[in-house]
Amino acid sequence: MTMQHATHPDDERLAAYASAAREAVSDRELAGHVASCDRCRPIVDELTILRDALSLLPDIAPFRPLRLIPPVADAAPRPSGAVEWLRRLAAPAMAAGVGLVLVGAVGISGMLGGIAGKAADLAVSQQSSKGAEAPGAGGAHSPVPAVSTDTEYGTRTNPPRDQATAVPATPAPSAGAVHAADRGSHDQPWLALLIAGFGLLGISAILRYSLTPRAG
Amino acid sequence: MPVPDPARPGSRTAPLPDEEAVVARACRGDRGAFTQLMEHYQSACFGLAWRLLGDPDLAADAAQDAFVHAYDAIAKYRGGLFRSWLLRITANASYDILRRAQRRPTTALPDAEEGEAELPDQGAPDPEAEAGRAELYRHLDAALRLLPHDQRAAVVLCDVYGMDYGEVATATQSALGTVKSRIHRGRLRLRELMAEHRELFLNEARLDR
Repeated sequence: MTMQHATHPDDERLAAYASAAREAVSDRELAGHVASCDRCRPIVDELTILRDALSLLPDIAPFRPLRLIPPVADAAPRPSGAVEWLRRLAAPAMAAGVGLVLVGAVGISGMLGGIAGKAADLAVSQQSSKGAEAPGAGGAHSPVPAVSTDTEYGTRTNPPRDQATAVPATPAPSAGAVHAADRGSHDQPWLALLIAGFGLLGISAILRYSLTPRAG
Repeated sequence: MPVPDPARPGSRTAPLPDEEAVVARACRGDRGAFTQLMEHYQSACFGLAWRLLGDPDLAADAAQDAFVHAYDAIAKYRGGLFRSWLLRITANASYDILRRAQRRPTTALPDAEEGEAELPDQGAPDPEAEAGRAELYRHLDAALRLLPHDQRAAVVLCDVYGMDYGEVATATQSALGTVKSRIHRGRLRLRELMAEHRELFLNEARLDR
């Protein structure tokens, strides 16, 4: 039994009903209207047929050949976030390693220059103390007087050496012992820097090499 | 302007007989298996992109981009219909191209009114049994091209390619309610556009049932 209704549901509501939208289908008043309305029932039927036809539209072959797979150069698997992060860190780490090596090397070469100077200094002071001791043989250690000495480096003036003031808190060691201790404590930071620099350089180079994605 | 050829009149790409195994190999990095899948589904991808973008060149670019995205993402593929997965990627790639084109107004998208000339030939009139159906598909595609773009995209993704409302909303970056409304208005407009072919339309529908 069909009939003409004075008012009709909104067309969008009919479309929702045709697509079996839950809220539209569960609307019994709407369902009753569609079933009995000469205007609305064909709309719903046609919309249903339309959906069926759309779902059958065929695939379309591309009009030109497509590249089906990325070229090998682009095809290397992308590393995970952490690995990529490490790989990116490798370059600045290498630069830092080079920096450390340079600073360490400069420090050590400066140190070696200093040692050479001190060694000459030591040789001079030992020579002069022997000279001072010679006249007063068997006498007690006394402050060394200022003395001008001709050395192979030229004439230099040695200040009076009061060992008690040079190393106030400790019992006076020999001049050679003072220089040895001095060299040890100043040498190590430069050496450590140099070693750390080489280490950093090596590790970052290995990281960069091993984490760089390669095709194939 | 080159005209796309139909894959086979009235046909849709069915899954490969051993698709699960091929997909599994592709997931493990087998390039041959991946190529086989893309070759098999290229008409599905191109068809979707063409229906969304309305231009064969842009559609080919979108399908190409989709293959690259699929290659990058296939290791993370977690089952389901492979065709649907690939079509979602193609829809996103098409939308990327659409957004780029809209940002550069000089790269005009084809005017829907001019679409008739570029319609794919959905099948030669022979054999006779397929002629009516092929004609119906031609008219349907022509009518789709006359829809406003947002309605066309919603109808194409939902009705032609079977995506649910949520998937359409994601692909088109729209709200769910907006998507539903676009689909319903798009269908109503399509029905009006198909009015002059109503007989053909209803005949084909009767043959289907």
